[in-house]
Amino acid sequence: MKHKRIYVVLLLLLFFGFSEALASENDRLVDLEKEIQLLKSQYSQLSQPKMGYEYGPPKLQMRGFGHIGYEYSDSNLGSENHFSLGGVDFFITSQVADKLSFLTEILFEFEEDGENVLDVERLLLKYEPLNWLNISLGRGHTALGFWNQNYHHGTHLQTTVARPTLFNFEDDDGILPIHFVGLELSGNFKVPFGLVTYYANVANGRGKTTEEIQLIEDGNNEKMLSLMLSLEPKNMEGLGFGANILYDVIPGNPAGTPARPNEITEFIVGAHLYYIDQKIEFISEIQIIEHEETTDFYHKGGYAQFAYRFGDVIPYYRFDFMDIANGDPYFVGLPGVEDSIQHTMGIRFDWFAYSALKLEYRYMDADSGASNIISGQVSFAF
Amino acid sequence: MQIVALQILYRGRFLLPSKIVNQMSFLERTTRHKPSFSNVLLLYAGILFVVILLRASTSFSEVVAIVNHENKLTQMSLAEIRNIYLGKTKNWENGKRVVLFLPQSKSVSMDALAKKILKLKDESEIPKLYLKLIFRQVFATPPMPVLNADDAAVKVAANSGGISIVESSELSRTSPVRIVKVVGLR
Repeated sequence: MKHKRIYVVLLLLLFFGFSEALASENDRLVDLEKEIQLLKSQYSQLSQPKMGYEYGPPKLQMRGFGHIGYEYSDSNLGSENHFSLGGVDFFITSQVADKLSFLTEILFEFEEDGENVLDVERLLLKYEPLNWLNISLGRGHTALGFWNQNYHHGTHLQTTVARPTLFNFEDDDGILPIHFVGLELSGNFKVPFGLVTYYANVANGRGKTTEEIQLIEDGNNEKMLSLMLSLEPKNMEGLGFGANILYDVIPGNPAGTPARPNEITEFIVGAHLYYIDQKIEFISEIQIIEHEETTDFYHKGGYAQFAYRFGDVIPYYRFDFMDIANGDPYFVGLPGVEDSIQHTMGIRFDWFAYSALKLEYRYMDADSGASNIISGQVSFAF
Repeated sequence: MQIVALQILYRGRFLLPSKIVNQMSFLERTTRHKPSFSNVLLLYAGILFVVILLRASTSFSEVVAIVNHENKLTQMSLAEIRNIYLGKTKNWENGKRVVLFLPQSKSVSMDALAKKILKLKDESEIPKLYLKLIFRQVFATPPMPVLNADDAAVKVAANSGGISIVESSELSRTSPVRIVKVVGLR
């Protein structure tokens, strides 16, 4: 019995010793195999010209966005039910050097008279030496609220069919200077209670009319100055809020109809609040515009948008309002610039990863009358 | 042998759920035999063997970040790595430009990047996120993919500002990168 116990103990020791040795040997072999693979891949990388922007030529990336829609409207402004091509938005980026990148957004638009128009909507060369200091030169979107920084011409990336009325583009009766041509400083820095992001512009100001974007010259020596600050609080992922301010002097337009001999001093102040996560999208903004000419004019606009994701389906609602002072010579004659409130409700279905179907109903009550608009849109990225 | 196992487990029943203990007490009443020394030894050896196997299979499954050896970082928070992958932090403290590498597709580390770091539904949302960020000129190009953990290590080693996410058990001991623990990420 005693010998039996000793044999069992010896057998166990032998077994564990052997299995431990085998395991250790096995580990060593696995490590050696990995090391050989590593050396092989390192050798193959070293034996080829190095890839990537640190060593090679700039890497060009091209993407595009498009949308096609149908709209029914009973508006008395006169717009028959119609299909519409929403334009083809080519979007090109390139990492030129280590901290230097380039972006351009070229939009082929289709006019009501059937003409095709090519617009370079954005063209920016960006240098990013520090987290808190990025320097961009060119044409981009003005530091003017959340929507203008986050959504551009690719409607596929916005939940809704239409932009908020406040952020209509300049050539679509918009009242804000959506685009700038000049310099943009941006960046972010940590503060004890979160992360602060800023955008600042020094740029050619507005042109003689709201539609005119001064691409290669400026009508006066005053430059447009704008600053936008946003805070994302610590431990509250998805939440953000901030404010913006803009100053500009708009040149006079003595030859215009109606004639406007005097310059206008423009101040815009705004605030935004948003919460966006995987399910919920809440965005709200307000902008107040002051135009100082011989008289002061104050205009207000804003919206609040809420959407909730159920899988691939996103129902949404938005409330828009515009409060426009009568008689501002800069906005005279613009058909959509009037007091209005608008309720938008719709549903977005992400039927493919890069394509969405949107169906939207809008009720607008404006000075020119009430209207119902139903829009359908298929949007896509390519 | 089974009786011995039951008796040993019964003596350590405070570690087990009460439902099992109740069943064991019934069995113990019906099976009282003195266990032999070799049987007890064998049982302990068996338990030890199973414990070693279990430990070996789980001890190195941590998801970590890897950075270039020039980077002196040893630890970062979930918020910090999120800011890096969202383009809010684009330069390291040493001034080097951050170069992002995605983890291996359909891996545990890719799942951790999508769900825990970027708070997305799954991996399929990552290209959509970078499309948005490129559109906003946060990035000029999307992060580069890797084939596996060793490929990630090679690419991070070749880029002074490189970063990727891997399972530490997938890395060889001699990987030429610095392993950075991400607090809150396992």
